[in-house]
Amino acid sequence: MNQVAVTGLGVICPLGGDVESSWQAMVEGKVGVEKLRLMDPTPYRVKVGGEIKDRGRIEDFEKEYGGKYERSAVLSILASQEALEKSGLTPADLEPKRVGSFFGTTMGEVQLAERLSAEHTKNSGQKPAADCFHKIQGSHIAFSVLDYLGLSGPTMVFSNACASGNYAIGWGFEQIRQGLLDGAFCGGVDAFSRVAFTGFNRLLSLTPDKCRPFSANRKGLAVSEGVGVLFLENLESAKSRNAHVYAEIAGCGLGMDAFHMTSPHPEGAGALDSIRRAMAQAQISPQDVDFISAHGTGTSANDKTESIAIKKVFGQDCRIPVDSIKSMIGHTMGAASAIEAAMTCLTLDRGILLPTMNWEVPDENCVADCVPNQSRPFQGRVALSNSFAFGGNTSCLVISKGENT
Amino acid sequence: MNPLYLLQKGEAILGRDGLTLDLLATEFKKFFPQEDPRYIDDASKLAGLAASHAWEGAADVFGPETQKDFAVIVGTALGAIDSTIGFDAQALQSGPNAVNPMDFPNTVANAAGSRIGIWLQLRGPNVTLTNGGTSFLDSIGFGFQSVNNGIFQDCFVGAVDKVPAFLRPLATSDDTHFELREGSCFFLASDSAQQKYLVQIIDFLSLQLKTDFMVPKCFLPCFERLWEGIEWIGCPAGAPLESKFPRGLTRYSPPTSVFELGLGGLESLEAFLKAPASSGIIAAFSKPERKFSFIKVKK
Repeated sequence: MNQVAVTGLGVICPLGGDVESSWQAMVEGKVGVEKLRLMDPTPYRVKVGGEIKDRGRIEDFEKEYGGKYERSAVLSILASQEALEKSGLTPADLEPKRVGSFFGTTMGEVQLAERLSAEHTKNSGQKPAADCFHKIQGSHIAFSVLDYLGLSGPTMVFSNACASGNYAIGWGFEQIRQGLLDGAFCGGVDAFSRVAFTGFNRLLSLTPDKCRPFSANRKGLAVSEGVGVLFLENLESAKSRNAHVYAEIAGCGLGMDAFHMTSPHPEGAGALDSIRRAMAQAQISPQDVDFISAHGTGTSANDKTESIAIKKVFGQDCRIPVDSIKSMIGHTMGAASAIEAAMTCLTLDRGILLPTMNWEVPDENCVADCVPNQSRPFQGRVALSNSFAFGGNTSCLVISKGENT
Repeated sequence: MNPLYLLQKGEAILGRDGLTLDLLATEFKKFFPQEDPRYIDDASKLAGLAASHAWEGAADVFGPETQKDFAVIVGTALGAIDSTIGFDAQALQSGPNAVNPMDFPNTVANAAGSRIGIWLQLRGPNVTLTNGGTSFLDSIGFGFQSVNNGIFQDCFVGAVDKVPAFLRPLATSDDTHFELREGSCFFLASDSAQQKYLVQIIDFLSLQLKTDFMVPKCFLPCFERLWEGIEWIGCPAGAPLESKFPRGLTRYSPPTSVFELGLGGLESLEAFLKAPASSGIIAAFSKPERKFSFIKVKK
């Protein structure tokens, strides 16, 4: 079995148009959730969310390619391009068929779906363009990345709601581990969705102001958008070309609450299963874990059940730092777990824990140390990255510090 | 590689066995009397029905201990597009505060797979793949590879698709397509032949083509391994790579008039089950992505 290295990262989120600016903003505890500007929130109860502000690269790309790729595909292409650059490779260095593209998404090309529904609702009589039928399918996203980079390995698109990114990373991890591929772009993506904003608004799951994970006065999540991509390759080949190894993926566990479509299992059953499965695959014990990147949505139910699951694995008096970057960038849906995995790689690589911002009031039902309000130095080697989803789909990655000479 | 055994099949395909959208809620209630079908999207109802048919009698074999790790792998080309567009249209027409929040969970593509897990209490990995025309075969391939990687032992593999009415003309705009395959089919699958099985999956290959005629060099060994010892192939007519298929095989092509969507390969698999052949290959092709998926099967 191969060890699997993360040698490239790409991120676009409300705090930055690339991985470095996003990381720096998070280290400084900046918050990208604010009053929506690109979508008119007037008729909604809640008016805040997370929008990508640094849109220059996206708009330039869309202008250049004139509608060939839809928005989620564009975000995925740009972040994959960044991840490849970070890895020190170019498409020409890759054997085209030996590199896969695996993406997760909650809503797919939802902005296209929303445009079609708006046209349909208006009864404009305008016939949708013929290629809509293909571009509206999730498969468009993973394919577009390879198409743009001139590669042609296997593709998979995982639609497991907000945990989708971890599912894609887990699949890429298996492909590299088994030696089936040399490299893989693994990520998660979602463009801002009117449907998601409307739906969470009606479920009364949205915070009216700030997202406050693990704080007793938390009021809900903030719908957001973004993309995160990890470039994975065989550790040996990364070492042989002296690539910087940000981290290694050591295990992936998937689980299922089998409880309710929108509420997590009250005892965290699925979360617990996925954490245990990931740790079993990575062959680590609770004592080995130094840090947890939480799903941490900022809803009352999620943070409580995630904390229950963590305490069941690590003990009631668990002092492991557990952060939630959703406090800063909101809930980027299918991108969330991939962005969190990318930031976990950097946490291990750079020795800085990112903060859970907006934390105000202790909650005895939640984790003890959520790295409140300020980043801090860190010397750990092994992290978990949790992600749970609508429908009760749960996932956990084990990520370990990369060995660099 | 160890085989994945497909043990039992269940389906709920519109137009087959008298199933129509009008009858769907009634059929669904027979299996899930505690659920209110008004709040459940058609794709979930179809998937729930298909999985229940495949599950019939299996509860004795797959007891509660097995259910803890039992996986559900669902393929779908269109996912929840039907419900997403319906939900958005509701918000646009009546205002965002007038939409029914009960309809929101239907807008995620994993609604069908998650509900199968909830309804049948299956707590293993629950995975939804939106892989266009190869979704069905990719779900079988995912099951096959995961069983071989030790991720799980027992699972449902299958697919579901339902097309929004106003997008139907786009789906059938190709001259040859005039019937859409909407509905769901699931197989109960396991790494061991605990009972009489329908077919074994003994290999899986998925590749993206640059041209219609070339097998990429690095895939040649896998591609050649695929054809060893087989006598039958089910593959869409006019599919790429045809010139590379070995001669002398019995060939089946599903009717071109039917667009199988995410259920691509089902028609061929059904033909193989009836054919006087003991081993074969089922292929599906997703045209826009030039993606080809194959499963190698043995009776």
